[in-house]
Amino acid sequence: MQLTRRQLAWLLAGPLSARPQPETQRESAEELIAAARERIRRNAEALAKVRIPVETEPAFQFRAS
Amino acid sequence: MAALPEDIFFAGIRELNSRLVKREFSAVELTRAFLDRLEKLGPRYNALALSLRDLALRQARRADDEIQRRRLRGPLQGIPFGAKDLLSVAGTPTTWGARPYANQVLDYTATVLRKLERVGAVLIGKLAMIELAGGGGYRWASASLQGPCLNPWDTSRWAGGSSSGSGAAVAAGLVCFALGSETWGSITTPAAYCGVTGLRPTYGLVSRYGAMALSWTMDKIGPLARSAEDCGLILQVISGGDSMDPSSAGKSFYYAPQFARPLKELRVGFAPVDFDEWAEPAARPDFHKALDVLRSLGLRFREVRLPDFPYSAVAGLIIDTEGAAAFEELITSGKVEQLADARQIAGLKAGLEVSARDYLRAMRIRRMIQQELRKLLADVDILVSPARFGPASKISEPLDRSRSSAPRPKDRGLADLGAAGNLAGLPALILPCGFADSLPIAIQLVGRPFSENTLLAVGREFQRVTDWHRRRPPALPAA
Repeated sequence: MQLTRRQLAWLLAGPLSARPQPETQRESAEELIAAARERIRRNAEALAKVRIPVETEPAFQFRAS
Repeated sequence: MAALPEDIFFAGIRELNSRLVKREFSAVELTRAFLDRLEKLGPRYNALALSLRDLALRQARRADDEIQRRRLRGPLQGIPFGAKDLLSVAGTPTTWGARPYANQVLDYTATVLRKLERVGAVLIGKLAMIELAGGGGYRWASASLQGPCLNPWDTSRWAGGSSSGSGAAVAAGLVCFALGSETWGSITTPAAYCGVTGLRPTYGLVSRYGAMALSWTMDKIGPLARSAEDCGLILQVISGGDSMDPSSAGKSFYYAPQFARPLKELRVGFAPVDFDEWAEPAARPDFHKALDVLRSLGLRFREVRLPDFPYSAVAGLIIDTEGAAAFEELITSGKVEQLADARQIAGLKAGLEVSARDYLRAMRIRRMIQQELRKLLADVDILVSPARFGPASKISEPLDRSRSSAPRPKDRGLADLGAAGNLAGLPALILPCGFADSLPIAIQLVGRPFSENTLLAVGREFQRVTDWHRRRPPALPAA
C-alpha cells in the first residue's frame, strides 16, 4: 500500500502520541479536593448574592401518580 | 458487489434510504461498508467504544427483508448509526466511558434505541465519550476510557465532549448519524468542533430511560447528523412520552418545517458583542457571514442580552450536586479513583459535600432564570450566538486554559446562553457556519420550549444556501 506524506503523518500522529501528560498528576489529591471545594464555595457565594423572592419555588416538579 | 463509493459515507438520511428502497444496494451491504469503516478508522480517532457487528447485521437483514416486502418504515429504515456509550443495549457492555464500568452489562435497552430499531435503523456501534459525561468536571481531553477523542479535521485537536465519539464518527463518515447527550454543552461542543449539525431537544421531549444519569434535571438526548433535515427526521422517531422516564413531557414531535412560520415573520435576538468581542478573532469573519446569511433569509434581527444571573455558577452547582448523588456509590466505594482525570475524581468527591441549602438556592434561581428567559423569548422567536467562541482546542492543552490574552468583554451579551439554555431546558440547533484556523466553527439557534420545528426550518434554509455542513475533513485515509 502506498501512502502519501499526509497519510503517513496522520498515522504517526495516532492516539498514543496525542495523549497528553496531565499536569494534574503533579498536584496531590488533597490539593485537587481543596480546589474542587473552593470552586463549589465560589459558586455558592455567587448564588448567595441573588435576591430570591419568597414565593419562588425550586425548578423541579413532583407529580403524584 | 463492488465497494460502495466514498460519497455514501457522507450522504444524508433521505438519500441513503432512497437508494436502499431502489435496491441500488442492500441494507446489509451498506451496514457492512459502514462497519468496516467504523472498525478501521474509529479506533484511530479513539471514537469507537464497541462495534456491534452481529446485532447490526441482524437488524440490516430485517430491514432488507422488509424493504423487499415493501413494508417501508420511513427514512431511517436501513440507516447505520452509532450511539454514545451511555445508552444501554441489553446484554452488551455499556461503559459510560469510565474504567469502573468497563465490564458493565445491563439487561435493558434504552428507549431511544428501541424506537430507532422499530423504524428499521441499524445500530452499528457504541461511541466513545468523556467518562461519566464529564460529571465532577474534567480538565483533559483524555478523560475517557478510549483516550482523547481526536478531531477528524485535525488529529492534534479534540473532538469536543462529552459526546466525543458521536461528533467524530459523524464527521469522519463512520456512521450516518449518532445519538449524543447534553447536560451542559455535550452535544453543542462536539457538533461545533467537528463541523456537524447537532440538536439538543427540549428537556423532557426525548426519553432518557436506559441512559446514564448525570443530572436528572438537566440531561437531554439528541442527534448529531449531517444536516438540520436529518436531525428533524431522527427527532421525530426518538421523541415522545415514556412512562419509564419520570421527566418525560409526554409530548411527541412531528418534523414539519414546511408548516413553520415564514422566516420573514421570525425575530432573532442577538448580541453584537458575542460576535465582535467574545468570539476569537480568527472566527469572527465567518460568524459575521453567518449572520448575513440569516438576514438574507428575511429574519429580522434585534439586539438583546441575557438577564443578569450567575448562570455558570447555578448550572455548575446543580450538576455537581446531582452528579455526586448519582455516583455516590462509586465515590464512597473508592472505585472513583479508577477514573482517568484527577480533577474529575476530586470534583465528584467534593460534590457530595454541597449543602441542601445551596442546591435548593440554585434550583430556585433556576426558576427565576426560566421565567426571565420566557420573557426574553416573548420578544424574539430565536436567539443566535456562536456555539463555541472558537474552534477545537488542542489535545495537548488543558481544557481550562484561556486561549485569549484579551480582557473579558464587559458586556455579557448572550455569552452564557449555553448555561442559560440548558438550565431552562430550551432546545438548540447547532449549525456549522465556517472555519477558523482551518477548523470548523458553528452558530447555535436557541428557541422556546418545544419550538424545534422553528429552529429546524431556519436551519434547513440556512443549509440550503450554505454548504458548510457538506464539507468533509481533508485528510481522511481510505478505509
